Amino acid sequence: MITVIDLHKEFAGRTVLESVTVEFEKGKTNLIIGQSGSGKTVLLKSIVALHNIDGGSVLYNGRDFHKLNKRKQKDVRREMGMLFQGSALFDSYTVADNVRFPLDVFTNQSKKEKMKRVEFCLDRVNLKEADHLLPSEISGGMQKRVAIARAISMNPKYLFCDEPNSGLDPKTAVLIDELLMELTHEFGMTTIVNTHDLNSMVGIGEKIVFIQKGQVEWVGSKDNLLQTDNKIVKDFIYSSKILHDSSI
Amino acid sequence: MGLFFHIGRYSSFIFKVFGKPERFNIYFTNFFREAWSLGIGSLGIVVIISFFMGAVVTLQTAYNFESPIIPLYLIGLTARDSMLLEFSSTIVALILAGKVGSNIASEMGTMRVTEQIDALEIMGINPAAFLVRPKILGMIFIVPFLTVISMFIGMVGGFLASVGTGVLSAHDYIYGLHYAFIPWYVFYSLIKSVVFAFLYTSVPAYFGYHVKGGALEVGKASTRAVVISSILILIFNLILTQLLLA
Repeated sequence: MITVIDLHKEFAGRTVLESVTVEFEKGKTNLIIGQSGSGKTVLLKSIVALHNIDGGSVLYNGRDFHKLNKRKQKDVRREMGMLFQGSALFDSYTVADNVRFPLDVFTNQSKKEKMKRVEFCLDRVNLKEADHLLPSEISGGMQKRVAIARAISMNPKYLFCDEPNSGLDPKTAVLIDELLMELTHEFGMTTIVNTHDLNSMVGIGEKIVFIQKGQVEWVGSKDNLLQTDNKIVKDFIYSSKILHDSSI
Repeated sequence: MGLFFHIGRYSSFIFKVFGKPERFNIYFTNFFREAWSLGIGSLGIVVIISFFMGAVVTLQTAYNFESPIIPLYLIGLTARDSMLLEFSSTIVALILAGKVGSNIASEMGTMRVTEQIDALEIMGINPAAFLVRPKILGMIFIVPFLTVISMFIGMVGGFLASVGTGVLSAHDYIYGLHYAFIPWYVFYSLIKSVVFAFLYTSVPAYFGYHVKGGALEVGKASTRAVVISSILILIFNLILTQLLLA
């Protein structure tokens, strides 16, 4: 479980996050949603400490991440996996090398054990046959799946996804969403997905946190998202033409 | 941003680059890979520029030595000392600042904007140490070999130019190469080339590592890295010459 308490973040004197307090539950896909510029990417980056925060705490099972020393922070980092918006695969490494990379750096496993783990992870994302290819030789959707395989290679407790569906066609986006949800349940991870994709919200939003102007506006789940009375959330959701038309 | 900001951030960056490594065997692999790709990959350009520099220096010297009281073998000596003292270290460094420096800055910059550096950080890896240290150490390791090759090829270029154009005989040229040879000049050149290698790898890495934005900023960082590295090479050339030869 990840608990964010009274989080505050400024950039050049401009408040981007203000008094954000929220709990992300274990074994669930937790979604951070909101308009572009609402502060959801800053929130995700604050949670994973890709930048410093100006106030508040981020607790990983009770461990205040921003206040830990460097060594203990590294220990927590080894429990994290992250899927970036652009996949962030290493260009010069093959698919298998990308997935094996964290194992090479952090484990003392034998070559055979590492290969077995890589095969398992690639198999889990249905990409076993692409292990020898370079990231530039595979599609965007496949790159996302490789990034997921790399993120889960170390058996993480926490999985973070920054706009996992951006740039993907709707069918592939649904596949990625389903995969994230399956893996979250299978490995009992605390998964946080930063998205503004409506399909993701109604598909995998077991817990949804709506951010508006740097503050938590609404917290709920996919089951009560479409029935909410919150005007700001409703405006956001029903700005989708498809939903808007179907609701009339 | 001010000069002192960059000096401070560069210092802290270098401190991070030489921080404790996660795993030595991976660093060794990367070290040899970088030494090969940056160093051996630059061999072609080093050979070409050294050959032509040696040839041109020899011919220019010959055309300036018109007095009959100046022995012709001094053309060989001048060509040799020009290669040893300046060309094989400083001019080669300036060329490599363009080739290797822009390569490193754009590679680091692209990794930054495509979040590959963030991915390493999330994994708990020190990205500066993991990515930059093998490049700096790899180049520092390989550059003395490149410098010695440059010296040799430059003198071969001078030989072929002088003999080929008939401005002096092979015997005079070779006698000039041996005449009043000071071995310290070779060490002086090697010391300079190592210091310059540190500059044209670490400075571009610094600019690339701290890129913010997209492709445009990567290009700008690459250009700035080459310009600043070249200026620093010239400044350190002056300082090292005063320190080592005065």
